[in-house]
Amino acid sequence: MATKKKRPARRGAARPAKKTRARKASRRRKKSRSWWKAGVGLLVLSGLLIGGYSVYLGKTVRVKFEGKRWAVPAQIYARPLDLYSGANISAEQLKAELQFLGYRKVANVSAPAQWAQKGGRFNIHTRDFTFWDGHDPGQTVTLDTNASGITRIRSGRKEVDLLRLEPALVGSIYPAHNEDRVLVQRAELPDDLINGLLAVEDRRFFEHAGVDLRGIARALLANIRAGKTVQGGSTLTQQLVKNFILTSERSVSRKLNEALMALIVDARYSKDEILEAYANEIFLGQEGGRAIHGFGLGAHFYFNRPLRELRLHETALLVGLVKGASFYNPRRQPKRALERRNLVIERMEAQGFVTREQADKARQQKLGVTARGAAHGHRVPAFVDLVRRQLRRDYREEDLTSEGLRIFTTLDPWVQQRAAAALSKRLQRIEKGRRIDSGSLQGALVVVSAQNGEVQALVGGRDAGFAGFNRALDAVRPIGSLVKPAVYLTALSQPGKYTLSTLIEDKAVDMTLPGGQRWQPNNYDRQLHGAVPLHEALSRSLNLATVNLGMDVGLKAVASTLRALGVGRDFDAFPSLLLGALSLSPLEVAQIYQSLAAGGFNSPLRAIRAVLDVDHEQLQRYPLTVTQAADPAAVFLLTRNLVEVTESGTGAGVRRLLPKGLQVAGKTGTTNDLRDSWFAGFSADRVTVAWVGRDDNASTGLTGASGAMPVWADLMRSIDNVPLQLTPPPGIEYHWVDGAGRLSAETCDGVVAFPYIAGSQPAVLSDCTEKQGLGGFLNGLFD
Amino acid sequence: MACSIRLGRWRPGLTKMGNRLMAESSFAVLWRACAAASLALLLSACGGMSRTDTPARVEERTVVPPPEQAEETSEETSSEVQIAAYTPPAQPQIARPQPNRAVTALMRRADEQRGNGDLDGASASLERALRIAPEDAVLWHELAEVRMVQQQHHLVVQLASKSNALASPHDSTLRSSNWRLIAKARRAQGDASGARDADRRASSLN
Repeated sequence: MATKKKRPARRGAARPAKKTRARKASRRRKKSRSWWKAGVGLLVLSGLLIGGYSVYLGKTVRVKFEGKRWAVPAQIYARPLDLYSGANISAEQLKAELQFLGYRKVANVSAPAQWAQKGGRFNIHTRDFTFWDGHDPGQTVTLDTNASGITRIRSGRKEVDLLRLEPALVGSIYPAHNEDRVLVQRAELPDDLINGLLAVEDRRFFEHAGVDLRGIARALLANIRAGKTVQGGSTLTQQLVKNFILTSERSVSRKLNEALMALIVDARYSKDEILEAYANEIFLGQEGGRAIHGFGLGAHFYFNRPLRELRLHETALLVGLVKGASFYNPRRQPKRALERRNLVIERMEAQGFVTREQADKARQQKLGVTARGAAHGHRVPAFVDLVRRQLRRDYREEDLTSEGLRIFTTLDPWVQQRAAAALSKRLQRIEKGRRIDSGSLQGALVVVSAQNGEVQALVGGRDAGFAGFNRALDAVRPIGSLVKPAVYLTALSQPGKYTLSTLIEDKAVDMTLPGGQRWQPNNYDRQLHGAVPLHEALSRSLNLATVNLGMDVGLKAVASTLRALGVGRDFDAFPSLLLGALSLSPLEVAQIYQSLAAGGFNSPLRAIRAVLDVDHEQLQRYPLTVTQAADPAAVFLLTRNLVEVTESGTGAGVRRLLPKGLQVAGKTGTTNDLRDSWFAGFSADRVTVAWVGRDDNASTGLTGASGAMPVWADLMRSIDNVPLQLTPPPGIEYHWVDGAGRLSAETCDGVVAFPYIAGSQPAVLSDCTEKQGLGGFLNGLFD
Repeated sequence: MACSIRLGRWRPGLTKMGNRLMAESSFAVLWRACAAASLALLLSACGGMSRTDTPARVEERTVVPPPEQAEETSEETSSEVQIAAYTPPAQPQIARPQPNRAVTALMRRADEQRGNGDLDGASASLERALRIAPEDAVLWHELAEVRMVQQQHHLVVQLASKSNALASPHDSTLRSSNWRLIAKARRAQGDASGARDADRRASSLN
């Protein structure tokens, strides 16, 4: 007996035939044994067999159920929106932000995530949210807005200093097998959802023991009557076992396994635990390679809302999808989905879970699903890509895809939306206007906050929702004249030698590069301009004057300026560097210009603010850091010069595209054969870099001013910007200077007040040095 | 070029460190009203190009006359007096832009958090305030103070330098506090001569 006992246990129960054969052989050998004995043996054996097998299955169930049940992808959040009196947030932006978050517009606000509007007045009931720096309880507030933004916020009669809207969920980092989910707990499952599941899938869930014999009989009867399969007898527990533990193979033995396991699961776990597992496991849709699992993510995926905020008709749709998420796909098969949803509502009504009235009202509703991918995540693949790369420095891939981390990023969804639109629309317009093959141009846009280096938006291509080649990070192209500010900053950092009014030589350059190659660069207009003031050489982007200046200050010095401004990769300090023979990605260029915009203080560009674990405990913060990269006084002179670029230099066209009064600094960049069109620049609070080119690196026929600049301007004018104020840092003095760079009186003709680092003003006086009078003062006032 | 005010050589008074909202004496109220009025006037003349939440920063220029001329003229000052007659009783430059309510609230919170030993919370509040008012020199200084308690000396020097770069040239109280902080951080880093130099700069501003 001992051997017989072992064998099946070892081999598993899949081969009962063999056992019988073995028994027969044994009987032949030992004929003395009586039938009675054999009968008892058989009974004991089968008991042991089933018992042993159940132990084995029980272990399988336990392994699966206890410990970590699912790999929970990291969730990526946008930045929260700070609301305060004085915030430059238009009613239009506010509405868009509420929409990103799935807030409902209602007549009268009565529950979280609702808003109402009357003229410039908004009533908003915010959601609870746990941030990296504390928990914000939801509250109802009244916001008054006018053309310039928010003027007042009140909660009841109390003035509110500051509140924030919780951040939108914009993506997740799901694992290789592509299951994405947002975990929900039993307590978060709405009654409608449970009732719907009971009504449609398993009405005796709370009574049966995992398998519902009555249900099976009823289904069988129904199927025989219909002559085909119209009803399934699987309980929720069986469905869970099938999806969670077993493969989808269809066979009798699997069906038996399923039933046995369902019994075990039901015996071992509470109904609530089973429901919770079911609600998180269920497959509810597919988007590309991403599989949507669980009602938590399903609610976001179809309605851009948390599960608890769904209304009856929405919940009923999710319940309906259980039967076949592809077949009833509400985005592709809306008619089918609507019928299925209404069937769920009807069953709920028939079983008394909802009243006739509720059911009627729900049936009248539209499906209400958001456009594909419009709401939840993956519409910002380029940004999520950046987040992922930054996270990989600190976390294992496995932790990102399985630990349910909550990643709080710097993404500004409003700016991101505007950036994506600016790029795609402008490229279309350029192609049309210049008869360029439609779709041949590509581009990238990066927006960072000027003073603290937070990446607010990142567009990796003209189809921003498409997760393809991320040009913002990976299109590493020569930056052309965008490098020039580094040359001029190096010079201006030597105030004893160079000031904005110093005359430099725009004369022919003819030199031999280290490789033995002869180098004779030209100006864009192929002219020589002789002695030109330094500021003009930059604003007109004169190549030859720049090369002469750069050679004079030294290639090494220019290279070290570039490194200080934030260029991390290795590059050769050849003379051609001075004209932009340096290949960088748009994001890397943004780093350089961020250092300039912040007055010479480099803040490493960050896409992440904090990482919390699944229990809201902070794992990591990415704090604001700054490093002084250049003398703020020299950077101020350069910035003033870059403002001139946009007022009278190569970037002057930008003025026509920007609102009046929005003062910006910027630089155009164009590379050989018009392959790359660049524009980088900043207002007081945002740094934006635009690149336009082709993926095959062919000529676009566009200069920096005709390609990237209008893209840049389209974006900047569609978002709020603080105008550059050119506030001089300590150590700057203004002096009146004539066209030849000589000190003059301010009443003289054609003089301009230039800023100088104290003591570096010209020593040579012009002929016109009369005393200044009141008229002079007034000129100065409104200069 | 942006709208500009020419202040000549006249240097306005200073507000005390920490006392961000000017002392509510009737004197201060009067000054502020004058300041607001003249700012509004100037801004409207410039086409109202700034946001409305905080008084706009106005580009200050100190136009120093050519050396020769400066020597020649003793009437120079009289011409300035004359100018003063055209403007409402010369107002002191607001040394620091008035922070809005949100920033004030966050500073208060950061203060409390620091008092409770919650330095991470304090820095998070200050960083949040800096997102709202990135060019507020006092906020950068406060963040440097928190980092000092956390002994992040390298960062302290950088944050205080950033505060100095944004501080009004007239706000010598803030600038001197920044230099003292730099001195302290450098000393902690073992840079004695650097610390002495920073202390000297701090003293020269007092």
